[in-house]
Amino acid sequence: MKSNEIRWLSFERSDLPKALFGDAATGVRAWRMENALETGHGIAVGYAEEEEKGDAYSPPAIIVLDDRAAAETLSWLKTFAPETSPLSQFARVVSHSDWERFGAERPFKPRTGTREDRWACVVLGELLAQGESGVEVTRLPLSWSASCFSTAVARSAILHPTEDAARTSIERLLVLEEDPKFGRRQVAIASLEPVWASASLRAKEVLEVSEVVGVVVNTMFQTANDTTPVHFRPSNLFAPQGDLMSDSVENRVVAFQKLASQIGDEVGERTPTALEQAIIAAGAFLVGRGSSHSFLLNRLSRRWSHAFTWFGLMVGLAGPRSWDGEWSRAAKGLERLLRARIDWCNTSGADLSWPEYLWLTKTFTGKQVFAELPKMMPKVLSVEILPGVACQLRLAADSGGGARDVNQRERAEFERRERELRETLDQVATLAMRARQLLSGPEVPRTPAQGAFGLETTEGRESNTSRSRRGKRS
Amino acid sequence: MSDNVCICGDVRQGLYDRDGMRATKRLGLKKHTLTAHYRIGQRIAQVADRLMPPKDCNPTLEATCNYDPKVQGKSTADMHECASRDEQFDKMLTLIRVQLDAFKDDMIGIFCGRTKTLGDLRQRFDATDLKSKVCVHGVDQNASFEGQHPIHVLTIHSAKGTEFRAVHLYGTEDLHHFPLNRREIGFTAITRAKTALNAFRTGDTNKPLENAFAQPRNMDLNDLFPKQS
Repeated sequence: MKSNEIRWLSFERSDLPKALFGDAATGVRAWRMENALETGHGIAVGYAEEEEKGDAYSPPAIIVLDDRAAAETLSWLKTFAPETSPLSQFARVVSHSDWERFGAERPFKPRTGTREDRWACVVLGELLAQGESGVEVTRLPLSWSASCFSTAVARSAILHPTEDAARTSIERLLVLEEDPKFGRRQVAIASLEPVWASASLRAKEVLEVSEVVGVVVNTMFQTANDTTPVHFRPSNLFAPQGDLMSDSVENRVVAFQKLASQIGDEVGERTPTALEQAIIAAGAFLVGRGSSHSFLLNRLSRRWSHAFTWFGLMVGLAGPRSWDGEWSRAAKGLERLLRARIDWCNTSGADLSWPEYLWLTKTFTGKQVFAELPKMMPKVLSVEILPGVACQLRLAADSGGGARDVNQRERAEFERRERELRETLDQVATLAMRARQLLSGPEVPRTPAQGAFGLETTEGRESNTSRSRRGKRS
Repeated sequence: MSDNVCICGDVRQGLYDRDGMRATKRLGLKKHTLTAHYRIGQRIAQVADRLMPPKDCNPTLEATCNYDPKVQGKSTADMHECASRDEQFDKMLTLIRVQLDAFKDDMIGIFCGRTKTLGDLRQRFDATDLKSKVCVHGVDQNASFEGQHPIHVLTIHSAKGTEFRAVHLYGTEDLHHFPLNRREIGFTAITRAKTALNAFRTGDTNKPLENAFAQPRNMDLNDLFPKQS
């Protein structure tokens, strides 16, 4: 829907709650959004023009907040009409500056300058990297892609194909990543940025397999420092006459094993660099000349999980001809999600809009700020960082678990105490029996349990376990 | 049950020295000759052709091969001379481990000449980490190609009609004497392989089979003037 098909109304602040609940009768019609923003004291409420005018129930479709007045407006609503907070539950909420940058007076023009299937592979790569180790492509729930940083960047590239939008989306993702209220991720944005940058190279082309490795690894090598050992230089590793380029799959597997062993020895216990991750990914990519041998990366330790993101990129650059059946099904499933269009008047699926997220995090410092918000999923909050571009984030263990988690923790603690109490009573009973036997007569065979309580010798020597337990109690 | 019935045959795979295709003449069926194949790699086709060259000036398997090595992988065929069956098994195991990665989701076939060798192979595999990946037909209960086993062990006779990405001919010294030294038996075993074929022997196998695997190599001075021991 074009933005000029939105009917803009402004409301007195006291009438705003009623308007949010669907009573638009008290609103004042404005010719332009900016007029509504001005007369509405920093908040303009948009309605889909196509909807029947004069309906008794008319919920808003979009809410635009003036950047400078947003904090004051949201604070007022939370204080005097708490049932309207968060505002994002009522309609899509955007800041005036975002509206001007991404939506003003024009429809979206997606599909310019990028291949969605390439981005789908990048997301799939991150999905493999962020997930548990050893997960096969077929077993990945595609809904998890909503929590991939790459999904947000891909959606941004597809819906808002401008440098400004790309930069803004990454900046906002960085804010989310640094927020301690969310859990840490296996793969950080800093290490994903070179992958995203490479995904934008020759955006409309499908590259040959040999070309892909050259483009990606050489780019990485040029940005790496000169300390890269000679035998790990792309010109040596991926030479046309090398075993990784052989037409024999078996030779390529053996060459990959050799490469993995060499590079593993080189890296030792430290975290592999981006170049090393890209090299190992290129090796697995070359074994299958496409996506088929991603499982080789599963055998590496978690420190190498970022290699999956490079692998996904390479498979994306090489295009569908290089995909095996499993990868094709997963990638096309993800692409379907990435290609979803947005309409300004459609509701957002995210839990929080960007302006409201910023206000909440600046206003409330505690980790529990998101715990009581209505959310699509427990323990997870989704934030719309740009119009149509959302990112799901898992709440940190102590910030968003809610009452259910607290109950579970309490139950576990209760069970632990009960178990300890039962064990202690058992010990007392055994000790009493032993004492009775000692007092009443000759040697009696001991039970194994008695040994554990320091009764293994007649001199009464105690075990370490027993001593330490007493020490703790005293 | 079906509108059409197709009878297929290849006289070079006549394990029991019978020509089943004679029935088609008696029934007056229309004959079609396949002039190209896509399954067998060039090198494997070359070995098969050497063992049993086509008769009546028919084209060779190698000449009619449409196997694409760029897509399906370069084909290989090697015969390994080993000091013992233990060495044969170890060498085969090393290759299989690579092939399980190289040919993921494809099947690997291990053929032997004699039925008693099946039990020997079952025992050997049971002592390895590949135990659960192996199905020994004729030994394991409910042996089937429908299960999740990537490795199948069969006699050459029961391998007829199957195909595998990689084939291992274990204990080919058993093919040294009649009746297992018939060329049709070797030909049938070889043509089950698509991409990788490896044969293992301890001692002699039949000469035509050994010669079929021979690879050209440069002659050097040591060949002309062998060192006196």
